[in-house]
Amino acid sequence: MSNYSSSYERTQTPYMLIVVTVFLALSLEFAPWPGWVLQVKPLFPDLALIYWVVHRPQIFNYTVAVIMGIIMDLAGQLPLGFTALVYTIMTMLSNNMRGRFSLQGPFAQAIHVLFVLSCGQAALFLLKLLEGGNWDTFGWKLFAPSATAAALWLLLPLLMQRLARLLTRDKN
Amino acid sequence: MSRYGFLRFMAAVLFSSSLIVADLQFGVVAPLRGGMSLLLEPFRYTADAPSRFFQFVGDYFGARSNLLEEKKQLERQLLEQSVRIHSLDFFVRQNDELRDILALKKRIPGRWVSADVRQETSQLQQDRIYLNLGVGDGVLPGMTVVDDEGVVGQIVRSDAVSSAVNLLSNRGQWIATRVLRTGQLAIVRGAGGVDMEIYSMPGNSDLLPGDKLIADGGAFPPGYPVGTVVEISRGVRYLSASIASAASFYRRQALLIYAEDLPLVEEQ
Repeated sequence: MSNYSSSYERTQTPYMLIVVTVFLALSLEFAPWPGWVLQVKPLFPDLALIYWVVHRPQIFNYTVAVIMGIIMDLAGQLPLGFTALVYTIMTMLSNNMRGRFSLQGPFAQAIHVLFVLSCGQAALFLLKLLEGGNWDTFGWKLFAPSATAAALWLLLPLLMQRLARLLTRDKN
Repeated sequence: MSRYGFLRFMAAVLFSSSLIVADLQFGVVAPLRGGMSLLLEPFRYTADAPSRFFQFVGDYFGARSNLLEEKKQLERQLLEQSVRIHSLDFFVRQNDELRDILALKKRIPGRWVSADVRQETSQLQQDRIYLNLGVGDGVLPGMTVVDDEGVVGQIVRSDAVSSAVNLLSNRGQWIATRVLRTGQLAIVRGAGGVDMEIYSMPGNSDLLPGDKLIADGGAFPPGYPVGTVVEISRGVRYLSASIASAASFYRRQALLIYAEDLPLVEEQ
């Protein structure tokens, strides 16, 4: 059974759920994590982006992706547009996968997510090279956050259902 | 990807690329960064909430324990200061009394000896107080004891280091007095507690409430205050009156012993 037939998907997804999850994802990204956690910390905003592009493409479109990317650029002191461009590419890839997601199980979805996230990280790495970066930063550390984010994808439907019920109950 | 979707994708790519070029090549967005960074504040505030919370909890309990410790120290200091202040009150009062006694010595001629009152548990029952001077100090039975306000009583027993004083209110204590206003003689005896009374005065005597009584001499310093008439009860032949003592019987730490004449009195 697909994740998309979950109870909160059959009803209207609350807008507040989208706002809350994106806000939490960005806050978690900016939180002061310990050094060793930073190396494997999941890419929370990227994960939220993929999730909502897949589940609510009418709302989560390129405009939202570019805005999120600009926020990430400001936070990471990156040249403005770097992450916006990366998120644009990831949005395009997620949109293309959306049809197949409904036919796949959680693990296959996680593999797809890992691919999208890795493409995003690779794109960002290339952009940084253009800016004047070097190849030394290329390695497993570049893709470790993508791997943990893909692993987190397996738990994401459960978390979203709980959060949606919570918000719906509060609304009622 | 639909044609519309592709166009939106290309528009987003162009916009992002334009931003990159504008920032890297022309630096036109650099001045905007400061203002745009305000967008991050809500996220940073939320992200920092856990550490702020733990900081707050740490500060709260740290400050609370410090305040509790300070409170204990202050309470200890307050207790010490209170004890000191009470001691100071005692010494101030004692000092005042000694000053009064010194003034008294100059006022009335005679041989005076200062004595401290020893606190005795039985003094209230016996209308008697005890002094810290005895035969070894030259204090003998029959001597008069006074304070700065009036006659207190008479020494009835002395041992080597202490002596017992019958207060004027003792039922066995008698004193010859004169009414200050008229000069009439009046015999006063103790009535128990802190009271005294006039015994066997003629019923037609000129005596009014408020009249002051002074010692008539003898063992007692002549003219020294004894008490004030409070209430008069007139009979056919005799009158009786209650007297309020001029001296403070139980509130003194130091008294004077007067030794002009030494008529012995029977111990009651």
